[in-house]
Amino acid sequence: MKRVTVFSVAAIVIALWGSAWAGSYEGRRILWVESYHEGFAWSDGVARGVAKILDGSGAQLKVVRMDTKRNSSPDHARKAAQDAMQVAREFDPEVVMASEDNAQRYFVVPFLKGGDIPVVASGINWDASEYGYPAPNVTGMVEVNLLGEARSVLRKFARGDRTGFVAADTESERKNLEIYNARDFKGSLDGFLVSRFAEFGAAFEEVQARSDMLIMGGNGGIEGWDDAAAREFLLGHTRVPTGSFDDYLAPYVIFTFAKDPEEQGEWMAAAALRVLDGESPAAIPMVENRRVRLIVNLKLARAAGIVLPVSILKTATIIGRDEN
Amino acid sequence: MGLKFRVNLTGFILVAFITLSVSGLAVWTIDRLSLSLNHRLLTKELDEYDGKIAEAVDVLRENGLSGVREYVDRAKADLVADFARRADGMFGALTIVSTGGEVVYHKGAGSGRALELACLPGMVAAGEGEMDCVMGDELRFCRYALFPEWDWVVLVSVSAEEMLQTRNQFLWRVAIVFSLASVLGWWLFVRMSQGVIDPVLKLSAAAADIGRGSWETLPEPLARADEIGELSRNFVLMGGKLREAQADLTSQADCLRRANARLEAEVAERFRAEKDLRKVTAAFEGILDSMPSLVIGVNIDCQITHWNRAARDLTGMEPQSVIGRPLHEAVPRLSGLVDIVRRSMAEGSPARLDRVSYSHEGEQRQEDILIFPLVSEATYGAVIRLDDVTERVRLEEMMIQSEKMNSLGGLAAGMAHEINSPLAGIGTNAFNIKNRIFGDLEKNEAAARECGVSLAGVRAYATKREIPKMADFIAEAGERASKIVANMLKFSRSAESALAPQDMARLLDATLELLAGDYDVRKWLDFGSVRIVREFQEDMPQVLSEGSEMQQVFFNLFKNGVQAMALKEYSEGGPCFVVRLREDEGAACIEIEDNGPGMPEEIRRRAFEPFFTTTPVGQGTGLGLSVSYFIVTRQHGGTMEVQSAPGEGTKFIIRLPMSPDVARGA
Repeated sequence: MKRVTVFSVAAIVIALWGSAWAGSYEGRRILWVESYHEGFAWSDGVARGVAKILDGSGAQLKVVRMDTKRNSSPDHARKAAQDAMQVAREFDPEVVMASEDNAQRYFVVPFLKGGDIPVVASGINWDASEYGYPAPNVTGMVEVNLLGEARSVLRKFARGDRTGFVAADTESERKNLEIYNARDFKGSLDGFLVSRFAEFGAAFEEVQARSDMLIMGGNGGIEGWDDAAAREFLLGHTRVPTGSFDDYLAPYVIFTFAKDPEEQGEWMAAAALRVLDGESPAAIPMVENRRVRLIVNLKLARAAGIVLPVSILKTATIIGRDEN
Repeated sequence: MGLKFRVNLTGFILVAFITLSVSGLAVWTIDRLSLSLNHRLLTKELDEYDGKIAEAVDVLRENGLSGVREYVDRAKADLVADFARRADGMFGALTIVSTGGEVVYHKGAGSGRALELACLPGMVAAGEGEMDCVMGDELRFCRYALFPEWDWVVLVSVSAEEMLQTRNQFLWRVAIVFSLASVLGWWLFVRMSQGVIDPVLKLSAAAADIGRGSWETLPEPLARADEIGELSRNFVLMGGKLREAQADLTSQADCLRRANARLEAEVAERFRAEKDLRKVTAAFEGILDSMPSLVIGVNIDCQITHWNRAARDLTGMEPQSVIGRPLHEAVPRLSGLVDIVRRSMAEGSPARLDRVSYSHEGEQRQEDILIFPLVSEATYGAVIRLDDVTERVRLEEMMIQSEKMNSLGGLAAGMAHEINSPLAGIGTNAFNIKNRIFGDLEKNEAAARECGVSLAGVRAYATKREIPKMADFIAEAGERASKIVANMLKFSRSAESALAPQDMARLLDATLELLAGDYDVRKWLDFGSVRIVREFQEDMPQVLSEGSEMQQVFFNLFKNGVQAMALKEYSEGGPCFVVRLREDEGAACIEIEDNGPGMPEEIRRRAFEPFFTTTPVGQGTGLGLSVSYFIVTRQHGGTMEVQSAPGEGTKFIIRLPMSPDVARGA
């Protein structure tokens, strides 16, 4: 009887606490400094994740968008950071959320890091140490490509373990290649970086010839990129399972292991609430994203002679099915 | 049989009963539901297979791959592999055949091998359902579904043995589970009961020790936080307090024993005292009851508290009917006494009232009343003692009367004797005077001559001077005086006359007749108007008496009554004599009662005195009643008394002894 009573009381307390929690952040101030702009797919995804957590919490959210995607100059970024800081002074936030690298670089690091305002960051590409994170008042989620998951899937359809990498010959792709080799491939990833579109086909063929599966990096730096030609080329020449980590590369590979921006938003908002609950950012460990959104290019798969199982077909986002 | 054994046995019986009951219910339920359950299980499993197949078909269709052979084959192969992995955990055996009878998958048989499935056409025709089907050489119950897109008939089947086996396995499992549960339940019951019973038994043993007077074996209190622990602690606490209480009780018992001894002694003393008191009270009551006096106890409010036996006998009222009642209500004739009683109680001094007259059953009686106030520290009241002194007063009066009459009688007789001689001389000389003047005596002639006068002249002179008349008057007066003297002489004369038996009734009637013709009586009252009431005892014996004397007595009494009644004015009725004659205790009792005005006490007391009269001088000598008194008392040895009160008439009571010896002696 006594235990039943204790359980009943505990249940009532939990229920009351839960109902109270829903509105326990009423009036608490959160400032979100976002690097890009509204309408940008990634930013909108992060915003959905934030809204999923904060909606109904009662917290007062103020959003400052630095718009550094459309205005990529450092000056603009610095100006936007100063404006954001002005807003922060006026808003007097209890915690600041900062998403993507520009917000860290131009806003958090110059104005907030080491200060009294707690900061929760997200979308930090690969390495947070670049910004001195974690800091006493800063924690966050690092944005990484999920190499392990990608290799696992590709391996099911490959003949062996050899993996090749094709991407534009840019600093960031070189950095990616370096990171991939460092983190997962232990230097075995055979990379081929191209500068011009004319080189792309040969490079792809060569990498494909030397590999059992292929990862395609960003093509943003390939001069003269002809999208239609590229698609037609890949449709006719893809013979091994290919994969990428960015949505925009989905037309060019069979598997796209896209990161989920909502995961970033959800984690960042949840961590901000923990800070509002009294936790120190230093006590909240920095994490990496774990969620992956698989996109399958069915047209390329069939062209490559890869027969996908129903289990992938029913969970993945299928593109290229119209042309079957 | 100990508590522990009983509890364990009870637990065993309880667990066994529950187990058997639940097992029986379970067997019954399982037996009833196993078939349905198996069917549902088959249906569920088939639905599962169907769902996966349908899902794969849908996915392929959605992605436009339904007609892509390699995708369809991959999907089929993946599903069959998946089904095969899960086959061991399923109840029904999965069989997938093409509509043509080619085995795609069959548990226990490889695909592609022909399976005799006689009912396949029926299944293909029906599309889905259930039926008993001979598969190979075994009859099995099947649930099946057709998938035309893949040309698959998917069926799950069980044999009849598997059906029962399932049930039996279920029952065995149930039996094992229940057996284990029973043993575990009983073991838990025993363990749990031990947790309750052992401390209780310890407490019981300790209580038994305490019951035997051993206080040294109180158990250590249990540290448990439950009710048993609380009971243990409270028991030890209670035991400790009981031990202290027993010590106190022992001490108090000693004190009580001593007090009881003292009390018993006091009670015995008190009992003796009460006994003595009861004796005293009884003696007191006996004394009170044995007293002839009427004794009434009253409290401060003059309410009766005691009522002795004499009071009861004399008043006819029982004590319970009067005790508690006010004195004036219980004894109205004492109402006039209440103030005296109150005053006596207030003053604390006794009061005495002598010879208080009261009327009782028409008889005037006297009583002495003594009032003793009871004054103590807590009780106030009074004791009233009433003594009926009527007889004593009467006797005293009679004695006084007798003495007085004797004295007067002696005096009168002496005077009569002394007067008699002069009277004789007076009468003789008066006669001689007249005779010596008018008698024809020679000596008269001789003396006249010697004196020189004529006798005729002397006679003339004497006549002229009325000397003869005077002589006659002297003689008449002398004679009258002689009569008086003669009556007076009767005062001293004893009963010397001859007594003879006399019919008193006759004497009374004769006297009344004589009275009617008496002149003196008629002067006073028309005797014919007097009502005479005779109450004579019919067989009244004759009374030894002197008739004429008694007649004179009766005459005197009637005449006295007539004179008295003549003085009264009657508003109703009229004068009346009540004459009673009866024999009473060896005496003839004659009562002559009139309804005249009666006499005050001072007159009544002197009624029999010689020469005492209330009539005017010359109308009576005052000797009638005294002569009657002496006739009755002296000559007849009887008694005579008068009762009278103003307004109540007068009654003379004469008692004549029936026996002359007695009469004389008296």
